[in-house]
Amino acid sequence: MPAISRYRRATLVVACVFVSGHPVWAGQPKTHQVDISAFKFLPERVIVRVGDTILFVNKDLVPHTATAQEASWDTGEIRGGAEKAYKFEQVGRFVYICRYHPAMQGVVEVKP
Amino acid sequence: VKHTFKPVHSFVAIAVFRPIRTLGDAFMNRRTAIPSLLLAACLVPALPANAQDASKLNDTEIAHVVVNADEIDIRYAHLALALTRNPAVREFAQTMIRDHTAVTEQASALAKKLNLTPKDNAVSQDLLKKSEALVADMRKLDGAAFDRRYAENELAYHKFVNGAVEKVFIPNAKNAELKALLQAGLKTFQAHEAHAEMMVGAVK
Repeated sequence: MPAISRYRRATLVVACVFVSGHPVWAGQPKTHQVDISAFKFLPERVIVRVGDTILFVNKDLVPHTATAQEASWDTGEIRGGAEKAYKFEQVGRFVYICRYHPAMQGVVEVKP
Repeated sequence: VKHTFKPVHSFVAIAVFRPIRTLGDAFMNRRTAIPSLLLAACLVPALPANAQDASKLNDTEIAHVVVNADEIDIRYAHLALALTRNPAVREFAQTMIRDHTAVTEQASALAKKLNLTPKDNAVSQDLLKKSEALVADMRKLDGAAFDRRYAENELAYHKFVNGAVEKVFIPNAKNAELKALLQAGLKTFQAHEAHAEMMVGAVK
């Protein structure tokens, strides 16, 4: 195969890999679901990749929030029976709570 | 009747549907009951005059008691917001208003759907009467003394309500949707009880 062809192909691959900031091998961003039920985040620990979204579904009667303990992110109030999505853009391990019911706690681990 | 009174919550739960013969009997029978009895007697503001009435309520009356109990706790919370300067107590009171309002809204929506009109009854009236006396009493307090009283009452009140909902109202409710709402409400009130327990420790 001529050298120029290999160069073009490599350029194309690199362009594909980094489009939208997501390596191709990481797949498309996903949406994960965390249920809020009986004053618990279920599952309590979720592992996602940068760019993934978590849909918090409140199955309780009362409002809740999902709020990073160090306050870097917050879904705001999620009324009973409602849901809210949050997209994770930063790598890290986040312990989060419900601001209204601080005994509720979950963990989100965001991988590169 | 032999009761085991060691944990306060057991006492409260039993008190919902088994009136104690006399405090004196309990003191004579169980020395270990004394601290629990004293604590419960001091803290529980709203034991029905005739606790056996609670087990005879129909669905419309159960709905009335539950909504009434929500409104009473909202009233306590508004009093707390007016009197406390403690941020943790304020946050708790705001949560009580938010959550009990949500439960009341759900109960009202269900009542409307079922075409059920909550019916006033002796248990509701007794709860209300005793809560009024308690509000008058708490209104005289200030600062840390109020915070302690409010926190202790919230713990005792939720223990009492949870005992009634779990042991009397859920088993006795006939309508399946009302029963489901009571079960969901119980989860909420149990979380409040745990939260109140944390608050009692924090304001000591």
